[in-house]
Amino acid sequence: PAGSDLIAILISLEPQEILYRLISLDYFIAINKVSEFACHISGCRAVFSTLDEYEHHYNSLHRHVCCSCRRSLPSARLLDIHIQEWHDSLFTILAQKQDMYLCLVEGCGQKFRTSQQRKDHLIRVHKYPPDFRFDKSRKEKGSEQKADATMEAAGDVCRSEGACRVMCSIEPEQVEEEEESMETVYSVFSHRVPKTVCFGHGSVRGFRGHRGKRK
Amino acid sequence: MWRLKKVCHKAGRHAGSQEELRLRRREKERALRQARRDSQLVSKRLLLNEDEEQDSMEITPGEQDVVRLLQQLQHSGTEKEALLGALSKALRSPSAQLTFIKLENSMHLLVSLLSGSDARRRLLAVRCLHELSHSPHASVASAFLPATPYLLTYLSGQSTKFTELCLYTLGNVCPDGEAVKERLLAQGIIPALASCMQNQRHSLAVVEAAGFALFQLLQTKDAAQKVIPMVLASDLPSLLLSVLTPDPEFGLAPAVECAWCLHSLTSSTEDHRVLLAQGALRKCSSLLVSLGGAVGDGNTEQGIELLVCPLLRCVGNLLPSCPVEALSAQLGDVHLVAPLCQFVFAFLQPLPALAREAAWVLNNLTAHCTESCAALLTFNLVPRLVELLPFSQGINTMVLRVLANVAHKKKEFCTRLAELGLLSAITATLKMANQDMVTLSLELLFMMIVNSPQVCKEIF
Repeated sequence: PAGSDLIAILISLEPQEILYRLISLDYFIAINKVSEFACHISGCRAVFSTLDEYEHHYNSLHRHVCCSCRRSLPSARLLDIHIQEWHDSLFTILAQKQDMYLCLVEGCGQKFRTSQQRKDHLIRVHKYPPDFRFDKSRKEKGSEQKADATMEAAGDVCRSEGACRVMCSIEPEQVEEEEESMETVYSVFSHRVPKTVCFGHGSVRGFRGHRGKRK
Repeated sequence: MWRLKKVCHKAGRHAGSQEELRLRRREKERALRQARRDSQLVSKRLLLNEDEEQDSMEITPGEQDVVRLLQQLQHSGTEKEALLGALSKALRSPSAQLTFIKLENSMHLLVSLLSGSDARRRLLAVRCLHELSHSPHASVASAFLPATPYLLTYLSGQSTKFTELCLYTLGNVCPDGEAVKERLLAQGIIPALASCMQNQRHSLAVVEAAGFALFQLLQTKDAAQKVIPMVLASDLPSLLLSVLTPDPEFGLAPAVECAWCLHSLTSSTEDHRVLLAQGALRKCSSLLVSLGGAVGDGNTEQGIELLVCPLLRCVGNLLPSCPVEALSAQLGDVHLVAPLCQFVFAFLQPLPALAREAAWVLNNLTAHCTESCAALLTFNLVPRLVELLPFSQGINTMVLRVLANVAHKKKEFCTRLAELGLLSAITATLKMANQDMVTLSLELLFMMIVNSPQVCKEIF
């Protein structure tokens, strides 16, 4: 596209999206010279040899990330639900008096008083398995080190107080999966990865812009 | 056919030599096109890796490799990715597929990788599942039940390649048995498909895959009662219509898939109010106009008939449901008569069945709408139609019906038809062996005699 069109497109994007697209462009150009390149998200050490791989990695793990607990969710909708239920104190208050737990199946729309009731509904009506990975209740936080490989929080994420919020990062490669441990073999380009990426005031959550309360 | 390199159909897999492979593929494609046109077809798709050429088929590993690979996967640490790659290749053989699902914890392993936090492994796991979905054995589909909630959840994600694979996998297993279909419906496949098409409509590959998955769902048993009402209530009809215009760079494929979905929707039910309200008639008609122009000019892409056919059927089915008063509002200034005739003439030799369908739509149009009858006369299409009267395969009866519709509408039309030499054509058709032709000719002659004094003068 023409220069002005490009600028118009870039301006309309969320900051994270801009970075992602510039990186894609950058690496798309660089890919002829460099055989491998690294994920630019702070703390993530994944390395790729094709843009497709990077796109998949980025979209799967860095797109719908909760800024409060660094968990990665598979979709914007599940992220919204997660933030409401885990990090929204207003939700907790309202939930004492009315049905607030939304069914995870899009289009169903039913709400429940507790997460257990919702889970029962998912199993009974929507034929979900009892161990569905994306329906962890908050109480299970402590016990989920081994079993839940999906929503693991990152280890050494940078945090900062004050006006600036650091971009979410996640280190899936350090997660224990089943019973094995992953060896990290990806540190080749980590010196090129910036330590923190900062986008100014407010809480940024994935691509969704400013929403939710700061802790 | 579109995306020949990337998408291959089932039969091309198991031939011995390359030549045999090519021949079988071509035969399968021909059969596919034919079957698609004649009846509802359930087919499976296999999405190949970008770096794989369809013709470079190595000797596929046997069943024992699958057993060995599974064992290694269950015990290995760092080599999982290479093993998964090997497993997906091994799962191309139908016997290996059957063996795999019977092994203990095999699907459990794939599902846990699919739902895990490692993106690369998710992709490799879904690739294995995709190969499995291609199995001709219905028993494999029921092994998919643990995977379905994850496949559906990921449809709302943003990774295009991954979403494509999930969609093709779902589309492949949909028709393979009631249990899978019921499960998918309960888990919300229809809203999931709608939001997938909405969120990723910029990616035509994903749109094509979603269209395929929806089409497969629409072919399942009792779809008219169990699936179609939900689809019509969702955003899918308007999404399908918005994708109909083919993208010149990407090609026809997404439009073709969506058009066939629309065809399934219009042909399975008689209540077309939802589709008419969404402007389906206008959209399909205007697309037919532009395609008719292309066909008439001779610039047609390979496979264009796969888009023309479902559109013709949609329009043909929607026309009778549209009240006459609303017709001009629905169609607007779309003049269908000329492109329909274009299709009849252009497809007459290569695809007579399609020519007949175009004539059928013309019949429905002229039966319903006086303006179209007038247009036939104004655009001087009648003499060319009359030339078609000797052709068999149902074309001449359809053309005669069209002419009868014209004669029926207005007295002046009869006079005009007589002036164009229809009488001498009728004298020929009255002598035909085909009984329908004779009956129709008599009816047409009767109408002309009753309506037009000039005709009487000519005859007697």
